[in-house]
Amino acid sequence: MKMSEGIVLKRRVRFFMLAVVLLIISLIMIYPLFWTLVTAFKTNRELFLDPWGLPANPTFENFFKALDRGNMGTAVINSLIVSLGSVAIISVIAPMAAYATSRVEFRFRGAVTNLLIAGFFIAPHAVLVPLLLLLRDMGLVDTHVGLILSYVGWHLPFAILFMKAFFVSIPSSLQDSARVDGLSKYSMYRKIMLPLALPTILTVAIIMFIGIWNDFLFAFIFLRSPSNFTVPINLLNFTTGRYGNDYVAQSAAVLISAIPTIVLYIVFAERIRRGVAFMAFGR
Amino acid sequence: MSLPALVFVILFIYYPLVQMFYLSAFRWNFVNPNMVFVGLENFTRMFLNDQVYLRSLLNVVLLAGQSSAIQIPIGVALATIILRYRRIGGLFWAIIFLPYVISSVAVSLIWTWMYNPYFGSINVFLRAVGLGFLARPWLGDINTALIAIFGTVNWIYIGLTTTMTIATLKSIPPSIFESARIDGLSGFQEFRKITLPLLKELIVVLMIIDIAGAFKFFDLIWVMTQGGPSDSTHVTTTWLYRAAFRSSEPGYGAAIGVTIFIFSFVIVQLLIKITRSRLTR
Repeated sequence: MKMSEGIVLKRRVRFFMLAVVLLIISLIMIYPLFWTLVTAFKTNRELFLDPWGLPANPTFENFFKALDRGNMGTAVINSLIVSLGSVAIISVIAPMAAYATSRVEFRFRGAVTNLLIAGFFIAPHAVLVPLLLLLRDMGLVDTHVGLILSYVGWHLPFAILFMKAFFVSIPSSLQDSARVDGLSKYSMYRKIMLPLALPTILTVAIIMFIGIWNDFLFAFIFLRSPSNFTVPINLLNFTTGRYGNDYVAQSAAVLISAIPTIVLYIVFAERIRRGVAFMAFGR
Repeated sequence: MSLPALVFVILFIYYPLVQMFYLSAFRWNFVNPNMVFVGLENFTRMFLNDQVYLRSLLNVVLLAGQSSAIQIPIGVALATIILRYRRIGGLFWAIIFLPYVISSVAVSLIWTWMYNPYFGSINVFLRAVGLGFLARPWLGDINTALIAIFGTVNWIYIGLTTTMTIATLKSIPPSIFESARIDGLSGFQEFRKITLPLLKELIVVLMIIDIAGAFKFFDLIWVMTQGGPSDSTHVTTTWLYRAAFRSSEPGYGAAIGVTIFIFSFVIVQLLIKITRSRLTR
């Protein structure tokens, strides 16, 4: 009797210690975000006098300032155009390529597959100079179209890799019976494969949207005029120049920038984590 | 059916990639587009005369090394805990993954404020507990800037490492654990005989991701320090950006790009080949 009580006690102590460790790590993860949230409702004077204090008169003024004078309103619209545009093109093209390279026999299929996927392992940072020259030659520097096309090109490899894992898993008996029914490869794709693939396409679309919404590099290199800026580059722009010391308004801008992806994460947490974890196995 | 995708990747990935090798042999600037052929001069300059480039390579190695050394053990430990205590584990998992969905620019700004010498929480905390003598401008101090950046890196990516580990552990069929229990294996034996061999493969994969990731690292450093103080926190990508677009030496930038491509792509592919053959043997 006594011994089992000892074991129970030991387990409880161990569980308690573990809970404390998890709590401390959670606090470290949450604290910077919480601090930014509180700061966004303060005045700059309050921030410097008491960095840990709560706002005396919390207002949304910082948010309005960020949206209006901070250009965040325009940036959010630009980011929506660019992200949704890129995701739409990827969602049409990637499943087609993934289906063709996993389910249709054609010449050079192996080479085509490698070409489509190998881009996943290449750092876009390496080719910034020739990529900018390419967009210049196409007349697409400082345009949303140029940005969208670049995002599509560089996000396709992961999207295709992810979709291929799905198409490979479909039993071939399904395909065979459809072929007996006399369906061509296009109508088989449209009528049978595409409806089956929709949940996977949604996962890819969400992950691509978050990645493109958050992307800094391409926007930083290709965009010039603030009226075209997407959210991340506009955020950086807001911290320099006239509003460089307006930290409370910048905090509000940071929160505005993060709201869409955090909402997506709350709704689709499981999907997003599964998709992101795939990166480890995609290799 | 794969033609549209093929057109996109060839035009935006492979065409610039090939052109990068060609451009790396020239010297010119964006204002005066007269290209002068210089052969391998950009590369000899990089490895023989450019101290900042060499420093940026060292920083990439440090970044990959510290990411592997810190994130992998913590990630594996957290993954095991989350899977063991499902109820609080689920909430905890949701929390530690959160930074990964926020843009790197937003995260960099938040941490720049954490490290701010006047209102930054780290200095405020140090002063509050009587360690005020340790307070400093973390990102402006040449001794702490890189470490401060690494702290933020681990804060962002610990959730990702944990998530990848959880996905790997979940892929083990539960029947294996059942039969292990029937065979009378203890919890620790179970970890050593079943979980650990599986994790070995994962650890190699995570290390490869860390190496490739270090060569793709740009946003955080550009926003937090722009490579400073005294060019001590540059990585290869930020130095490429500075050379190509700030100093207007696109040829030199293309040459740095060639080294990034070779170091990340080629070395990573070799690593994958070596580990695959060793793991399947």
